[in-house]
Amino acid sequence: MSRPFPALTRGACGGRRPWAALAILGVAGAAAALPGLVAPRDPLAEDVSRRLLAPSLHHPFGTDELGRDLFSRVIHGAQASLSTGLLALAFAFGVSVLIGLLAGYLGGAVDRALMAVVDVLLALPSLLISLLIVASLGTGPLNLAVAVGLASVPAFARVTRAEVMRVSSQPFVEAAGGFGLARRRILVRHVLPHTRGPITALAALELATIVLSVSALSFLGYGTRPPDPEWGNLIATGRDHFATAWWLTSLPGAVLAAVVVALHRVGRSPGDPGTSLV
Amino acid sequence: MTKQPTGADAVWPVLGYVLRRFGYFAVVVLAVYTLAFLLLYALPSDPVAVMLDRRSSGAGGSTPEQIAELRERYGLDEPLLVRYAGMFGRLLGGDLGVSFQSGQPVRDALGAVAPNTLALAGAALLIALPLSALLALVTSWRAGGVVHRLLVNVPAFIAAIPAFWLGLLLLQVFSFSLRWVPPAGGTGLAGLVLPAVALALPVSAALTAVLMRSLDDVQRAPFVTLLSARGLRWRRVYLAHVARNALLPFLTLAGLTVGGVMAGTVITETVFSRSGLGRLLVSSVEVQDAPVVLAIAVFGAVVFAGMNLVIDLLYPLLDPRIRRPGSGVLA
Repeated sequence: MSRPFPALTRGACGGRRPWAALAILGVAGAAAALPGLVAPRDPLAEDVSRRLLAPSLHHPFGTDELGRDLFSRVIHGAQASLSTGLLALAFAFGVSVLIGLLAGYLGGAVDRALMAVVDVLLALPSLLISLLIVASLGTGPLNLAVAVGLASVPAFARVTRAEVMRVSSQPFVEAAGGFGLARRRILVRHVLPHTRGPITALAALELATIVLSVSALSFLGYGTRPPDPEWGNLIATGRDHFATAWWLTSLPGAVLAAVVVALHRVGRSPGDPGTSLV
Repeated sequence: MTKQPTGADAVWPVLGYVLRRFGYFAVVVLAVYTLAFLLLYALPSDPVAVMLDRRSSGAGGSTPEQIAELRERYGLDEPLLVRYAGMFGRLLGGDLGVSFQSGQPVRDALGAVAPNTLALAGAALLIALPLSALLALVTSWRAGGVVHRLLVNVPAFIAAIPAFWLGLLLLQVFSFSLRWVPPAGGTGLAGLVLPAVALALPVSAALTAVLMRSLDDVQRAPFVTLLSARGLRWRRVYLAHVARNALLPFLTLAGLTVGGVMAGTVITETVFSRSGLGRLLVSSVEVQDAPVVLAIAVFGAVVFAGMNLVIDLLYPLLDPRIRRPGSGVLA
């Protein structure tokens, strides 16, 4: 438990560190943090004389139907996609830790009731839950983050509770109880810190699924609105010129796929099968 | 040897098992209905206000009387619990309500497009199940062999690719470059193939990964060593014993896959511009058309839970161990 990121320091293949995956994530992270510095051009600057140009040295990803530089739009899109993803992860994380602690702390009937609800929700496709939440709250990046975050709560809460249970049964927690410490204090000061490792490892993996869901819902038109770029909506608007300009959908999609594969690679333990069926 | 069970002993556990499975079916359907109802009707956002917001574009707007009249027409003036129970009763009776957006009965709207979606989902399952079984059987033939090392990470890789991007790539290659199949909106079998493959691939990836693991695990069981030691050909050990044991959990997973396929139609139908429940859901979610969204969610839950019910009921027929009382499997 001393290493906060066990998954980051152990590669998916025979203990080799996933340098390539970490490099991809580093570049994507830099693009998302400082898109203005990384992008060669203004993502919103239109130039009708340069409409639908194929990729070249000048425009590495080509240009779109309004002559905007697609490479710059993908870089600025990283910010929208990844910040929505991180926000969703924060939602999922906060709610799940609360549920896991409540179930672990109160136990008994509360634990059974919470886990019964979680189990039923776990059986449902998370896309369905996300769509219901979007239908309720309306569209927009913030609502989308809430929808995707809450949809991944069931899986997250199960692991959190299991971790709380595991740590709670260890001798040092029993000893703390023997010393007469209040249960709430034991839970927050002794149990919670020891669940950090496994839960953060899960968070890295979950982020891959979340980024995928965020872009899928943006593709459906529920997230960032054009002209502001976001990976999902870039691919969706690129469909209009699908037959003539292959780069408009393929290249943003390739970037998205690379980031998701890299997140999987970094967060996944060897031979672990896919968890998402969507 | 334990004593043979009498007839009554053998019937009761199975009956209890069947009843529990029906109970689970009811729980899933009711859970989806409750979740959808709570999100769509119980949250502060007023469905009528949302609807009027969408309809009234420009000057004018609605008078309080009009709003009250609409609230009454859609039954939104009743207490929440009355609506919750009443709406479920009407759903059971086949009355799915009226669309906020078009004013048409939801039943007609669903009925018009449901066959398209069921055909797509069915075709995808017909591709996904044999494909993943075959792929897993080929990969796990020899654990640690060349084929195994080559293929073992492919499913995880495909599962990580965005499903909508995969669909677009297939469309790009097979429709626009090779011109093998008609582009979007195609009808008949030719138009069905590409969307079904696009829907099946991510689903098979997840299925293959799990089945591969299951096959690898069973191969390490002591009985496999014993069978090989007794001189059975590997082909026979693998297909008749290893595969048979590994394929049973595959059946349960296949049931869960139906949920993934149903959800996947949302993306696939949008990518391929096919009319269907998924696309209807996408547009209804966007305009917050609560009755349509609720009806599609409940319909999906009935199909999903129904498939799993059928599979669970088949289990005792396929696995004789389950029929034995005290086996613990029926618990």
